[in-house]
Parts: sequence; structure tokens; C-alpha cells
Amino acid sequence: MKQVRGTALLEKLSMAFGPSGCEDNVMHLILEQLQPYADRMITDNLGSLIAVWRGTGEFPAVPEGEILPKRLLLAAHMDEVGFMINGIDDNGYLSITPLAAKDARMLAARSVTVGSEKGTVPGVIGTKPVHLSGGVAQMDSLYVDIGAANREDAEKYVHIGDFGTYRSDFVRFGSAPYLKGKALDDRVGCAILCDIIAELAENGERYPFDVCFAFTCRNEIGMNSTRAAAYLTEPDYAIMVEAGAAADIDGVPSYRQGGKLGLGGMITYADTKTVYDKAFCDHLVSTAKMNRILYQTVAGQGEGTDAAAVMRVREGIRCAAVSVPVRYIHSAGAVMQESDYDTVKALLRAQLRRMAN
Amino acid sequence: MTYKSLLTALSRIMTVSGCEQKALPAIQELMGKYFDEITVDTARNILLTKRCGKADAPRIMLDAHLDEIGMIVTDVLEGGLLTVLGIGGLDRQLLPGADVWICGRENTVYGVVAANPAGLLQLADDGKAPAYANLRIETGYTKEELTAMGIGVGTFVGYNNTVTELANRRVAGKGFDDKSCCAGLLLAVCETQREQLAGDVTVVLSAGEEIGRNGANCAAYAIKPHIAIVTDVNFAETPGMDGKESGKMGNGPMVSLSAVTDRRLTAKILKIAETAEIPVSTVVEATNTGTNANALVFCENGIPTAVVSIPLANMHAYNETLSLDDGENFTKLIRAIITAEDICNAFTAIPYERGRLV
Repeated sequence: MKQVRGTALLEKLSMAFGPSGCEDNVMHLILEQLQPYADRMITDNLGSLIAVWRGTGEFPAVPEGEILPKRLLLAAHMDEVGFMINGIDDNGYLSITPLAAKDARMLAARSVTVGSEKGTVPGVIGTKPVHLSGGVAQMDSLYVDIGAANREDAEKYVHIGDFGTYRSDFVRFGSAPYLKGKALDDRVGCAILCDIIAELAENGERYPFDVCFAFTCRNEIGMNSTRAAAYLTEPDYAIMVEAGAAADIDGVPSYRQGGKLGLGGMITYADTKTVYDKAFCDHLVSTAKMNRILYQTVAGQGEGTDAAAVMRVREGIRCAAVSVPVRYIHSAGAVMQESDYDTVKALLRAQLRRMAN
Repeated sequence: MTYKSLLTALSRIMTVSGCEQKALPAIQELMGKYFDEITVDTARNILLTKRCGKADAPRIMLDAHLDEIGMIVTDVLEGGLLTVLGIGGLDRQLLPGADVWICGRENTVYGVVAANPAGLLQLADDGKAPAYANLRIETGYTKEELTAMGIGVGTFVGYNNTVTELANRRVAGKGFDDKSCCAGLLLAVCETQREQLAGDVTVVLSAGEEIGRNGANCAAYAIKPHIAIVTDVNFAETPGMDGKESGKMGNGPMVSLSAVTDRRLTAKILKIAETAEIPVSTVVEATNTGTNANALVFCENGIPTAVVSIPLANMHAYNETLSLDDGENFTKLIRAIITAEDICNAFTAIPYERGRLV
């Protein structure tokens, strides 16, 4: 299998099937990508994958105002929003319950994929024709049509407890250019971390400290499973590499816009779940400034990251988050700007180098 | 050419009501060698005629509408976002996150409808279907670039989706309303030798059905058909639907029993289906067939019309779903109808001498 990089890797990851609780396909893709590069790869008991890039263990004196971790954790989650099959009717239609895909309007009429890591089939979420419609779609009236003739036929393809998510092509469009696809939250973080490991390995770049790259699961349902990876790896500093909500379009008041496309990684001081380590955030900001890398700061918006749980692991872990701005983040048609991919990667690489010296 | 391949080819063509004539080159390429004449009229209908070769032959009109629902650009905002209004009956709640094609002067451009990002709900999200005033289409281009491509106020926007095959020969895609019938009619006529035809057959791929059924009637005045078969999609039975107003996918095409349509022609079609062992179901549509037949029956001094339909789930969504078996049986039925010797005499009105009082 050939290793791919950048947005080609993002496309591959975006198209992979991985709703919360069913991340194995994504994990295997990442495993294959990292096989030649990582020093070691381990999994925790919840299903997260951790790739280790060993440090030299020779820690120099730390200048005033600088940060030198004993071990650094970079985390991105593999899962995406989706739904679970909770019933099959006599006519072979599947009923569903949300796995973080909470808005029935975002699901009605969509192309979807249903199944599990054992195999998937295409389906369509049914919608009552607008001619007869009684209003806005409700979650409990949504059903998936996979073409099954009846219950028995449907059970050849899917079972209760199987998963589903959007089926949506990865498209590069416009002059910006923009990238559109499903699951950019947080396959974009996964792709950036994969790229960084590959670059470190190719350059033979070793730091005093170990860098652990965690590809975590079940983030979207609020399980914060990154804390298990954090417990296992025992870092003292951690950065969540996420997809952040951007609503920078007209009609939205600027204070509610969150991130803006094309302006680089969002360094988050606070979100709806927690407040981040101020000194660490400031340090990231100064790294961006020193290296003339685009960045933007946000506070108080967005659904939050696993940092809220990670910072309470063991004796406490200093956390920051850097997010790629993504519009329409939990929909089938999430949109990001390609340049933000490189900007966020550059910021993280610059931060690693700075901490090592 | 199979039913599925023709349906897929037609689905790909963007024919939002108002720009149907743009399909002409594609239709000519697909159908040129099978028909004697392919024309487009001022109402944007595309007419394909195949003659039976006999003098003074009766004329049969087969109608399926080519237009599909879509949108039209009302403004181009800074940052390259478009505002739109709907063309035809769109379900606005399905729009956020949908892929679209924007029909530029020379090229079509990809777009995606802006959706509410989770956690940053905006654009006055009140849990309802978004108002057009709050919908935006993202293009990735600047306003200047869009203008240079001929994209501006009045540009047509259509759904953008590929055809997916589900289990048991069920397929999902966009524009199956009414390209599923267009495909069936064209295929039925293509596959029939002209000597077998019961008359001169004109397939009307009619325009403007979705915006008020304002195409087919114009074609009828040009053709002056002895009988007309209007074909459209009908509601498939899905969870939450009443079986009385819908048909089961896979049970064959549906024939409408209605006060609007011609009873003897309808009875004849049911008889033809029975003889040829083609599965059909019937549906009662008392005073409104919801199709071009409503407009056609009053053309000229009245045209005896019957309605044959294909059951379709998720109508007017971008994943309209149907059974290929139904499409193929629909094609067989149309073929049986246009080759039935006495089909043009099967209408109710007697005596019948065209254009004159008796």
C-alpha cells in the first residue's frame, strides 16, 4: 500500500466509514499510513491508536519563557457524526437513532452508508414528498431505504446496532480552493498528524521529548476517550488538533462567526466545555508570530474538544487546541480552505521545533 | 442501451424548468439514429417523432416532462455566495449541505448549499425549514470570478447527484421525476420497428411541468394527436404513507383511474397489460392526476388521455428512489400500447371526426 500525503490523504480519510463507535476502518487506514514511520504503535482499551515518536531523552536547560515538555501528546479524533440502526420493519426499512447527527433536517433525503467494519451498503434516508409533507423532518420518523424487500432480506446486509453515516464525495472546488466532504471533523486533524509523523521520520528530526500522536475514538458522542490515551501515554503537555466551527458568512454577527476560512489555525482560549492553559495558548500564538504563520484566536465558542477531560488526567495535563476552520461542520457538505491545512501543519511543526530548542 | 443506462444518462443532464432546451444536443446524440425528426418548440418542449410509414396514420402522443425542480440565482454576494429562489416544489429543509451545479455561460460550476454549523447555529435557525432569504450557495469563487463566468442574477442552479444502485435493483438519484418516464418512453420507441407502430408516434419531452404544466399543451396543438399517454412519477408507498394514494415499489407501473382521463383508453391499457402479462397496479386520482394530463385533455377539441406512472419514493428530493423492475415493466407496457393495432380507436367519444362538428 502506498503512503499518501496532504489533501490526497485527507480525501482517503474523509471517504472512510467511521461513525462514533465504529472507527476500525479509519484506524486501519492510519495504521497503514504510519507503518513505515512511527517508532511504535499501540492501542488503548477503548480503540484509540497511539503512534510514538521517541525523543533523545537528553533534556537541556529551559530558557525563561520557553516550554519543554517531558512528553507531548498530539491528539485528533477518528470518528465522525452518524447514526445507529435501532430497528428493521417488515418492509425492510431501517429506523435510526442519532450518534451526534442530531439535526433531522441534515439527515432527511441524504445518501448514506450503513453497516459496520465487516462491510457496508449504500442507502438513502427517506423523506415524505414535499407535496404531502407535514413539515420539518423529525428524527423518529426518519428511515433508511437500502432496497431490501423485507425484514429478512434487510438482515442479509445490516443488523440492529450497526452504524451509518453520510455518503458524500470529496470535492475540490472554486479558486480558493475549497475542499468539501463529510467527516472533515476530524479527519483533517488525523491527516495533519499523519503528515507530521512522516515528515519527522523522513527528516530524522528527534526532540528531547517523546511525541505521542493519538488517533482517538468516540469523540462526537461526548465520551472524551482521549483521556484514556492521555492516561496511557502520561504526557505533561497536550494539543488537540481539531476541526473548528466556522460561520464566517454574511448574516452571522461577527462575534458568533467562530473561525474564518483561510486565516489559519484557530488557537482556542476557551470553548463551551472548558478554559485552556493560558500560558500554553499564548506560547502557540507567539510561535505563530515568530514564524509569520497565519493564525486566529477564538474564545467561548464551538462545541469543545476532549481537552476538558484530558486536562484532568493523572496530575493534570496542560492543554491547548489548534483547529482547522470548517464551515457546516457536522453536515454531509463540510467545507474548508485547502491553505488552512498547510498553515495548521506549519504551526504545529514550528511549535515542535521551538520546544525542542 | 438499457433502461438503467438511459436513466443514468438523462439524470446527468441539467434540465431545471426554464433551461430544458439545453438538453437538445445530448438528446440528439442519444436518440438521433432512432427517430425521424427531433425538434424543439418555442415552449422548450423537445419533440421526437418516429413514423409508422403508412399514409394518413393516426398520431400518438407520449408525454413525459423533461424539466426538474431547481433554483435560480437572485443575487451574488461579496465572498462569492449566491442567494437563490426555488423553481418548482422544493423541500427547503433538505437544501442545507446539498451539492448543486451552477449553470454558467460555458461551464457548470460546483456549489454546496450553506448549512448551519453545529454549535454556532445562525441564520435565524428556528428549527424550521430555512427561508430562501437565509440560504446561501458556496462557490469558492469571488464575485468577480463568478461574473466573468456568466454566473449572476437569473443563473439556473440544479441538484448534483450521481445514481446509486441499492439492493434488489432499486436505484436512487436526482431528476427521476420525470426522467424515469422519459427513459422508458424513449427506450420503448427505440426498440420498436416502425412497421409495428400503431401510428406515428411523437415522444414529447415536455417543459415547464414543475412550474405549472405549461409545456405539454403547446406540443399537443402542434401534434394534434388522436390519443395521448401522459407518463409521470407517482408516490411510492413508504413508511408513513397512505396506501390509497401510493403504489408499492416493484409492483409494476401504475395506471390512473380518474374522472379526468379517458375511461375506455384506460381500460384498454389495463387489458393490454393483462394480455402481455406485464404487472401493473391501479391508483385512484379522482379529479386531479397531478400530471400534464390535467392540461392536455382540454387541448383542441379534447384529447383522449390516459396516465401511466412509475412509483417513486422521496419525490422532489435529490435521492428520488425507484425500482428498475418498475422502469423496465413501464417500458414494456408502453411498447405494448404503441404496437396495439386498435389503440387509436379506443377512446370514449363517438363518433369522432377531427376538427368538425358532427
